[in-house]
Amino acid sequence: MDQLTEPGNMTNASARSTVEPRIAWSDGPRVFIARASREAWRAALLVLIVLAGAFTYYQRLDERDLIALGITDISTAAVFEQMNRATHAPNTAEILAIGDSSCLMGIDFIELARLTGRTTNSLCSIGFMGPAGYTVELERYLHRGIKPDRLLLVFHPVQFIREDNWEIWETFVTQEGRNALAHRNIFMRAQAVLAAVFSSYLGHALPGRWGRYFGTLDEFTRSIAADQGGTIDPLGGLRWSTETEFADALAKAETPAARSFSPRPNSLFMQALDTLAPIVGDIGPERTFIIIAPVPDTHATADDIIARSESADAISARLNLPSGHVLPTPASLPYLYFSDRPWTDPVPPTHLNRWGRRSYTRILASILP
Amino acid sequence: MSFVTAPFFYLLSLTFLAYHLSWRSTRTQNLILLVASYVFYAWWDWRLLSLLIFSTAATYFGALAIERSEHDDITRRRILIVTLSLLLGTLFFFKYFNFFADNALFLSAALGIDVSSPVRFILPIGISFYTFQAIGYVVDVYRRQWPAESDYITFSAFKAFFPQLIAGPIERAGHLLAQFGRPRPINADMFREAIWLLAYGYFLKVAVADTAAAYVDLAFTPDQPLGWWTILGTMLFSVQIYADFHGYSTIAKGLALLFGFDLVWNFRFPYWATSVADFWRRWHVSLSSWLRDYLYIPLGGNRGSTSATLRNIMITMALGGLWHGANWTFVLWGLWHGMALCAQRLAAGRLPDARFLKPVYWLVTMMVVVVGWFLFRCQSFTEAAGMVGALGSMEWVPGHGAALTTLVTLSTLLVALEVFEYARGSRLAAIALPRWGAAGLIAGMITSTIATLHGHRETFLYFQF
Repeated sequence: MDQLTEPGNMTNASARSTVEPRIAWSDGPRVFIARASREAWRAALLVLIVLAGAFTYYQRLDERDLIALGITDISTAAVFEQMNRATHAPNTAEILAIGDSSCLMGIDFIELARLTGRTTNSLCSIGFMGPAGYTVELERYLHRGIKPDRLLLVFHPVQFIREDNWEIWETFVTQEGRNALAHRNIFMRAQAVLAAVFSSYLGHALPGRWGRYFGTLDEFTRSIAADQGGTIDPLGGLRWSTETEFADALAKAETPAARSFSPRPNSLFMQALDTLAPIVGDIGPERTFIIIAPVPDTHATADDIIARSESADAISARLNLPSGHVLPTPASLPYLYFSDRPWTDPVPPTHLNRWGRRSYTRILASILP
Repeated sequence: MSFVTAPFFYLLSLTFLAYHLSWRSTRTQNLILLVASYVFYAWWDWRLLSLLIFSTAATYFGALAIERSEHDDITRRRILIVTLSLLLGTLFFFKYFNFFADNALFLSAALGIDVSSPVRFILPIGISFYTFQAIGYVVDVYRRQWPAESDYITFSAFKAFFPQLIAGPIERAGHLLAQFGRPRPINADMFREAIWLLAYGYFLKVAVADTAAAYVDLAFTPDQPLGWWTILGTMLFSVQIYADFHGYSTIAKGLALLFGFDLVWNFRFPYWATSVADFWRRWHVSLSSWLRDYLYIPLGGNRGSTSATLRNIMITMALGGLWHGANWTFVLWGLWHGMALCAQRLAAGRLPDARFLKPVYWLVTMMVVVVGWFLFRCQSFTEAAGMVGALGSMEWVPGHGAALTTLVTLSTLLVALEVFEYARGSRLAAIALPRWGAAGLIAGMITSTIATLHGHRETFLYFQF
């Protein structure tokens, strides 16, 4: 089948040949180039046409699509999707939640709606955004004039220790992602469009557990919209296919001795709350409730629980909420409920797995006013 | 350096120019190729170049010494043994020292003997390939099938020829070395074929293999909880390893053609095989033919009793598995194929040869091959056990949908291309299309490669062997 294979020559390979070596230049360079490039120049032309078309398409994309093209990680995708939902999703929900990823991946809002009989929506994203970032989201959401009956502010204790460099996320939200707009040369712009077109059939897999559960970033983003602003952290929970299996594992699990984990809100966090207070006042403090996300029982001593309660009261006071507006959700849950990192880490996992999420949602539904 | 990195394209351009400007002297061209090949190899790690040079020198002088002992069979045999010992010793030392040391440590620990960890050696890239090429050459000289090369530059250029140095094909002296000794004009048709081969090869590597690789990496993990990943991951690996290796071999063939050289086809539609023996006549042909000529036949081949033949098959396949890597999973993979070949030999003549049964034979063959790929890809028995255990949970999650879509898309592309080539009786059938048709096919491959560049990986799978 290979017309080029020639039988081996049995003479000594280095015997000097008296035949003058010929290259096809003997045909003349013009003839050689014309014949040799018959397909090559045509193929190059076709590729150029495709790239030009892709580049032209890129130039006509609106800013939001351009930003979306450059998103490659879970955190940015979650924030961007919630930004879009804040601006474009129907804002008629009776219960609105906003907060960090312990909310994004810890509460099943469709199940909450079913259990409470009230419509729900979530703009929860990540802790890096902090109260100032949540404020921007809320302002966009409420811009159309309808206020929720209940506003749930969800904070995980991990985000109490706010850091300076997290401001970049506040800027991202304030500028609607423009600060993250990728600078691309002409080729990269065309390449980005082609990659997006091909992604429907040759999707680029996410790494680790995200890829194992969602496959691609597009699927992860779609799950947030489909779940009314929530999604699943797939680590851990995939071990058990049903809630019964999970319950069996839970019954057999032994709880290791707890270590202390009791961060208190630092000044940066409290200052960020000051930007949230006016909008809470606008919605109505009587409608606003605070939820402090649970930690695993491996990170909750008795002193930690007291500290958490005091932190919650401080946050409530800073936001000028009436007393009793910190919901009595569990301070801790069995470690098997959690997902994103091993319970042996000094910093506890912050996300519930899919079974923990289901259980926690039932608890929340039962205590929601 | 790898074929998919920027420095390689600079080296290729310079070498191509210098080579064709030196068209009056074959020896100068060989020297240019030798220098380029050494730069290519040293780019990985300059220390490894000394190993390649040592292997070249041992082979060169050993072959000459064998040839000069023309009438003294005992001396010829002794020189052959010494040369082979040097080559295999080098291969064993650098490739398998860590493996056997780890196993010795494991046994010592099991016996309660405290032994400190030995020093570890890096694996020189390509050592399996160039060592086997050297062994083939020196044995051919010993068998008087090929004369020893007297010119050191020519021989070194053959040994280090960069298109096939790192991952084959494992070339024979009768095919490749012969080409170093004569002028190698290229004509326009060869150039066109090279363009096609390069476009096809890069498409297979970047668009097909590297896309599949991301999903395969998700699947193969010891704590895999989901059974569908075991199945989909194994099937995607079957696509990945074929596209990666076939892609490399195709790029190598195209690069060689730019300099007027012909390399053997390493793959002949392996996934069309209707028996395991047929599969091994189509998959990594340069290795399987090497194992047949330099291991299986010297062991006795099928010339003895049935039990001797089966023994020879098992030894050959076990060592063939071990050649791929210092891991028991590779040995197990080799033994798996060995058992399948033995079963086929024992069943020879008893199975009907009806045409309508071909699809059944194909299906059985593919099941054997795919299960073999599962063993091949697992890094350890723990990983294999974990993934088999995951079959107890067949929950379907969105990620499986993405993997399945990718698998179907990639398989469809590969099947379509191979049906086209097979129907026209040539792997270069695209060149025979009308100009715009061939150009469209090449443009499609280049576009796909560009679109999937973000996921590309610099290394090829067979670099680790």
